Amino acid sequence: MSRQLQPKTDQGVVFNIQRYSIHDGPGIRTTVFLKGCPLRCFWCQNPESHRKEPQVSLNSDACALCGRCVSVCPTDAISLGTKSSAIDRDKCSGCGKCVQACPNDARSLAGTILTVDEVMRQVFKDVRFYENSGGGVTLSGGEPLYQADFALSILQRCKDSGLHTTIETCGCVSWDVMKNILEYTDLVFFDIKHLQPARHLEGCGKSNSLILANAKKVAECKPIIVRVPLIPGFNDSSEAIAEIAQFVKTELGAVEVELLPYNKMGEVKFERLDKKSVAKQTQGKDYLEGLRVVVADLLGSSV
Amino acid sequence: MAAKVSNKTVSVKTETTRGQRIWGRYLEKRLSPEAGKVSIEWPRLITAGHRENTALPAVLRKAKMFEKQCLDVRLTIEDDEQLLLGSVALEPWAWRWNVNWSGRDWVMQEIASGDLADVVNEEDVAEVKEICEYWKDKCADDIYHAWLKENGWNDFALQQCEPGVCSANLWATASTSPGMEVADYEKMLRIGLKGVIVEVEEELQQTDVVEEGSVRKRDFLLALRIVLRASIRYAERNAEFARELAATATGKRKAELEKMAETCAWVPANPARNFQEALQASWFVRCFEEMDQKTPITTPGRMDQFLYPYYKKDIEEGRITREEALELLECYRVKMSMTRYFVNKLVRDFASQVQVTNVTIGGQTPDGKDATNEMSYLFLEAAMGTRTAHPTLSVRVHDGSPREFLLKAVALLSTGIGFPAFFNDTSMMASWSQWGVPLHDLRNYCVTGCVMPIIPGKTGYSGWMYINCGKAVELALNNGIDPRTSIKGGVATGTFEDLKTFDQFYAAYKKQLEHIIEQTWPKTKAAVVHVASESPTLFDSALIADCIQRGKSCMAGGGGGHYFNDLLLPIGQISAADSLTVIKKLVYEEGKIGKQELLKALAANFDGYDDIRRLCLEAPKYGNDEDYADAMAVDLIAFLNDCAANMEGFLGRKARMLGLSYAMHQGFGRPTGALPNGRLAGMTLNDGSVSASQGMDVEGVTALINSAGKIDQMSDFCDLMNVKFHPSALKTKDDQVKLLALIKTHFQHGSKHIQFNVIDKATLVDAKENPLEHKNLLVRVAGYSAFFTALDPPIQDEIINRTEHTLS
Ligand code: SF4
Ligand code: SF4
Repeated sequence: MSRQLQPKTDQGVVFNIQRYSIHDGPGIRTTVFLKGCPLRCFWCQNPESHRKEPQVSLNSDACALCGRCVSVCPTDAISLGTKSSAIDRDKCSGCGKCVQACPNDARSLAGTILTVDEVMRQVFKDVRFYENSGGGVTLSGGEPLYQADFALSILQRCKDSGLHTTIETCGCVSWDVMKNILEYTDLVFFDIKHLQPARHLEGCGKSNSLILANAKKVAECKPIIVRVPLIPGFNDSSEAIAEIAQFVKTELGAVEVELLPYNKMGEVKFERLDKKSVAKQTQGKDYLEGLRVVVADLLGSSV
Repeated sequence: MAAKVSNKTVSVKTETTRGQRIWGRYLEKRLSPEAGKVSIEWPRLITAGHRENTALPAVLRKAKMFEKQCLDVRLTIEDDEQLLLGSVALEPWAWRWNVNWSGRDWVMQEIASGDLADVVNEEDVAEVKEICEYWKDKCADDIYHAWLKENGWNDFALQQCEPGVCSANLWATASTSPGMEVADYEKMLRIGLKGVIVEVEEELQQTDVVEEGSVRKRDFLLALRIVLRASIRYAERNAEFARELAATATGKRKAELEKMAETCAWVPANPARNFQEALQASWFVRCFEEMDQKTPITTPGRMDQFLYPYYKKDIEEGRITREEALELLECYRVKMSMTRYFVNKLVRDFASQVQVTNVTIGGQTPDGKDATNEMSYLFLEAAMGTRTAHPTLSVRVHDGSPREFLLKAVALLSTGIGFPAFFNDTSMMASWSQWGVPLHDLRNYCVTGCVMPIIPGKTGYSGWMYINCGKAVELALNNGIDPRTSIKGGVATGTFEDLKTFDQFYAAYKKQLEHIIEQTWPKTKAAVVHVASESPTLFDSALIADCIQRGKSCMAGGGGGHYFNDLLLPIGQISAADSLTVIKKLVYEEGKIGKQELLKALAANFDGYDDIRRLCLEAPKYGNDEDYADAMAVDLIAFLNDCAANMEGFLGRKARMLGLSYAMHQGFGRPTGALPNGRLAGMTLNDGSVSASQGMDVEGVTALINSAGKIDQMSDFCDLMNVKFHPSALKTKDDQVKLLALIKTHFQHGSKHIQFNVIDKATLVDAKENPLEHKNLLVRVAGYSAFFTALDPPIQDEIINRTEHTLS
């Protein structure tokens, strides 16, 4: 827990390892979620993944104001409010001591520093499941390529053992990084959120030019599935979706497009990290079906 | 979504099958005031049969009691669309009471306490009392208890302990029963009961009265003849009944009834000639088993195997369509789901039907080929169509099982019905081979009860006892004294303070287990002997190998040595293993909890000891693919296996360990105090035998499966693995394919069994609050499925709390 993050390639920050992951690529997989992301999408489902460092998250409803966390915190980052304890994020070093101390599970640590060996030990536990199902390993995030060297080491180790590898990327990394990674990657889930550069900048904190350029290059050399998170009021109009489908059709060729309906999970998590997200309605079944038809009309049946 | 007018609004489906309609109507009757009462007619006839034949030896008297029911019981048919005749339930959802077994004392108590008011009709109360009075000192329960008393022994559990705390051999009591055998249906269909009567008579002719053995043998054979003849008469009565109904019926129904009459006039007396006859005869067997014995666990075995030849012939000769066969199977499912056993309130509350009937499909033929056939698929489809709880299905999996078949089984699972369960042929057969059963018989195994392997037509009676592994932890911590009652239920192994190392503590724990076994097993065996002479199983004995030739019932050594199942059934072994891990790590290795501190915390049910409980809960637990905790479970289960191997069974056999929980994890959980694994007093113990303690497997299903794989299941008789799945992990075909890979990987580890509950938490919580809207909701409880709303709250909570293995 008290290990500090070193600028080395053999360790990185992981915020979750999900076993029996069945919706992140072929077969039964283990998905390794790496922390840190270059984008700041306002709807993000995993806001605790934004920063690369481990972070404490607080469920203020569960806090009973017992004060134990205050007394163990080495940097005096915690104070007791009237309803719940609070964290001064500038002071917090992410050591995790308060998480251990809390008797009410109000605190949890998003992100653990793990070595590549430690990650692989988890990954190898389910090899038989991968073998029997045609599964493997998926790197997700955050943005897995944000810890490029760490990600590369994990993927190399997977390929050394002949495991199928998948990455889920937002595409917002330099082509050099992407290129290296692709050498050890069998399948790429590639997020495209908006085709309009200005809207993309507005919603995600960065322009989409690098992303779209990378998408084209990836599609040239690796199997790619485009994923579109449907964000109410941002990109879930049929025009915005049609634009993306059109881009896929003309620039990427016959690749699969997955529309991911919005869910509200991220909002709760944002609150726990003292951030704000914009509450939105989820899309109805019929509406979703309509969007799928828009894509299907443009691309054929690959939705 | 259509507006709901009232609770009574029933969604109208355009296309329903016959089975769905019958079952739907039967379900509706469940809520009517006249439903769900004790059926007085059975105990009345059983009592009359006994009273009229007191002069006869027990075995013949028992045959006469059977005959009385066959000849005099009222004939009914539960629905105008039903195609099968013969009843085990005379009124809708009636409780069936085999008074010759038990009930005499607890029924009187429950009448006095008012607990029976909603179950017994007002006008029947006087007769119920009179029946109870008659059976005083005559029913199996009383005979057994009188015998215990004569030996100076307490009830069926430990000598100084309360009944049902440390151990239980339930079959001698109200809750469940003997019938674990599976009759030779194949033979019955092939030669008919008349053919069996011929065998009995040949044996009779060769059996001269010479000495005691031959006298008893003749009595037994005469009894079989009475039973077989009465069985045939019962079928004939049903044929006459159908003919009467046909006389006033019109159109299609008239033709159906005529066909039914013709069928019952022919089988089971004669060899079955077609599929309907084969299925009707099979259903009659179930009726006869009910009339003969208290048999909620008897199962028909490998139905896809013995029915298939009749189906195939009918199809080839154009006598039946696939749809018609399916319709009949659906009728059979409804019939199977109608029985309810009258048991005491305790059991009534936690098990809605107290019944486990199990049909095994798939697997291998005796010569090692894949056995899957069209009938195997039809059984899956009939279950998908009717969604009845019974019979549950067990799918045998081997390397040559067709993928299509297995995926269809997974698709049935994903409907949320709670079955099929999957069994691993390789591992199941490996353990039997230790006991010298020949390969062609091994390949023919089926499953009875929750997970008990059995050779159809061969395996005889079982003596079995449950032991409470959780209570043994309490005894080891307290020098053999049960802290709940201060009774010395265990053996003195030293105080917790005295036990200086974990090894010493573990040795003390093992001694407590051994003590419980030593105290209970001889009584269990003696009970088998007494019951076998007083209430021998007759009908099934006619269809179990060697019984006729030996002149002994399948309870008393018919069937032969290889096939006897004497069982040790440990309950709470994972709760115990986790508790041992906590003691080892936190008390002995790390000293984080003091011995006295732990004892106090447990005595206080952790009240005021939140920190200690937190430490206990956070300590490593079995089921997370972590060797430290898994090793404890591996070792404890191996030890239990050795314990069984040291128990002398009947006919020179050693007992076997069978891992399951039935509903005993609740029964034993109730009197068991707080345990070091963080479990609170009175809560259920772990369910299944290799699944994790409730909610303790936090690393996901693959981790749980890897943990279970570390246990040497190849040596166990069988184990039970219960996994709960959220429906979102099983929605698409792709998900189902992955689940199949999961099952196969589980089996590669040598594991024997896996079953799934596919239901989401929200649905269950809602069902608990609004039972009326979920009366159809089936869940897997242990080896059986039950109506969720009919379960009592602790079991409901437990099912809700079982870890949901799912994404997001
Ligand atoms: S993680 Fe460490 S530094 Fe941050 S608040 Fe908790 S105890 Fe203090
Ligand atoms: S330790 Fe937990 S419950 Fe206590 S004040 Fe801190 S966050 Fe709240």
